[in-house]
Amino acid sequence: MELKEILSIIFISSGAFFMFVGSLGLIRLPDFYSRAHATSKVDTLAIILVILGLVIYEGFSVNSAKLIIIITFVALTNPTATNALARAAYKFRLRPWFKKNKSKKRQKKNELGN
Amino acid sequence: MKRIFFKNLIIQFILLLGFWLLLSGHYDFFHISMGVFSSLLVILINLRLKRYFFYQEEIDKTEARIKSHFHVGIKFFRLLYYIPWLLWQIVIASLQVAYAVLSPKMPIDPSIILFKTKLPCMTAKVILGNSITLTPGTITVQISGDDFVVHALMDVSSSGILSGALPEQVAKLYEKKPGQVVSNIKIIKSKVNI
Repeated sequence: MELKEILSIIFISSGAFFMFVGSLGLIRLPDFYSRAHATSKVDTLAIILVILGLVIYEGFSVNSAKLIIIITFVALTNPTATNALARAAYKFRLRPWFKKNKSKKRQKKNELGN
Repeated sequence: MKRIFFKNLIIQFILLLGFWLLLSGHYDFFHISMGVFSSLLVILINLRLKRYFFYQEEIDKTEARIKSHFHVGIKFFRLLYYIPWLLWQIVIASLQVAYAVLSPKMPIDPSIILFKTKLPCMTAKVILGNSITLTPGTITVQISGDDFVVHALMDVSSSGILSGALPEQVAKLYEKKPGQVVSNIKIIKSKVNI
């Protein structure tokens, strides 16, 4: 194997790893806003990594220029779409999930115990 | 205003034609004339959108500022530094989010951060908003005027905004010594006051 192929394999497989993390986060995280974190952003990095791997594999040609244009468009449109989703949720007054205060919970338990 | 409008149209036409030439790959008369025709068609369709100014007040403000400060253009040299820096931030923050998602305890602690910025123009705010959203762990929820509303997944991921590192980099795209960019920071971590 050449160095080029090894590099592109590393990039593409790390991209696949981040894509997997994004999909797992969509299931595991608690509410709309934090799910938007997982799906949109980890995926942006994943797509950038996969396409970079393809660019390295392709070498210096017209096709790799097209791929770099795809990276630019993904990097521009993905945050914009996420912002639109989050803003719509905010305008709809969807309340985000917060971590429950553990000390308060303990106090309640103590009160119940007494 | 009208001169700026025509200048924008010509720039848009050149960009569209360049995009066509890059994508088509055939450089004979027929294909290039098709490209010219289709870019003109796109401009014609978008003309009504271009005539409508979504944020007239902002444009007026920016023009007034240009007159007073002489030059508020974006520095392209600085952009060459900014983009790799942002990419590096994205990689670091992605690893943090990946750790938070994969670890069984899920150590997340969401918060909503409100802050005020001092940026020279609308484009700078758009760049800052998109950069915040691109960095995993933080989403720009709303921008109204100079006020930003940001949702952060963990305390670690919001540290770049709270310390002012990211907004300062954006401000440095426009000015040499921006001074204090972020002010009036408020962190909300309970359901009471939204």
